[in-house]
Amino acid sequence: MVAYWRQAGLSYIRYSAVCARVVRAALKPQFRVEAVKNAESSVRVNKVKTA
Amino acid sequence: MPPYTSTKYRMQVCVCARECVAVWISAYLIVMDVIHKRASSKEREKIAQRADERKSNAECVYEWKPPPDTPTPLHPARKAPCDVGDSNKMMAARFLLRRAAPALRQVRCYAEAASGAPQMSFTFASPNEVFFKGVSVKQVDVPTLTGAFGILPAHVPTLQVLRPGVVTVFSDDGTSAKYFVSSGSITVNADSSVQLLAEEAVPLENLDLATAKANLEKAQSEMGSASDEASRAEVQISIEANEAIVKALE
Repeated sequence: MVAYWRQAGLSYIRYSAVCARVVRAALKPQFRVEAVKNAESSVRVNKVKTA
Repeated sequence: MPPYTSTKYRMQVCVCARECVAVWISAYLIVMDVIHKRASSKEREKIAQRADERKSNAECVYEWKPPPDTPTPLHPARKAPCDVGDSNKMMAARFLLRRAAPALRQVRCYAEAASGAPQMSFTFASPNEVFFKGVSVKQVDVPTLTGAFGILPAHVPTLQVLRPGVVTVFSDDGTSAKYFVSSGSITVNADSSVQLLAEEAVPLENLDLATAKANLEKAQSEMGSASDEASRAEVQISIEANEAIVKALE
């Protein structure tokens, strides 16, 4: 059985990112700040300047 | 008078002759069989008679009696004692054993019971924090995409992918710890070591029920405004994740 998100064209990475975002949003306020900070630091997006 | 030289007449004669020969041969065989049977039964009677005569005429009667019950030495290859009471069986067994000796070179014994108290080495981590590292636990309940199941020591090796849900760890002293896991993977190896790697794992106490409910309603209202299939799927994912959180906290 194919998962509905797989059928819609999403990968498990996207699924995982959405789930993680939801969990972080449901944290109690004192933990949320730290969690968001940690989450941002694990992935850094560098836009390469094209010539 | 029919012409005796015609082919048809000759053929008929041949067939006739063949059948006659067959009949004669079978008759001969039957008669010989009967005679043989009669003769062999007579012979058997004669032999039995002679044996009786010998028995009655003999001064001492030789009759094979099994030796008295003595424990016979076991073949070194056999660890398990067999039924010692019946010496006949023992002798037959030893004879067969010698015949089968090459195959029995490898030591055979009763199967071992599953080695007592197998241990499960449990490792549970997220990118930010390590919760368990090689800790010996009794059971772990995990929510996977294919359903929630509990992992005990000596679980069949498997790779599973997690969905938002509660992971319960039952440690050796009977206490259980619950964590909410957003997603990730779980690996059960053949040596009973389990690795649970989560994207986002928090103890249940860190989650807020009211916030989760509010997020759930917001996501459900967003469902109507989703345009294409990908965004609709993402909204559906967030709805399911929020539902899982609410269910875990209630």
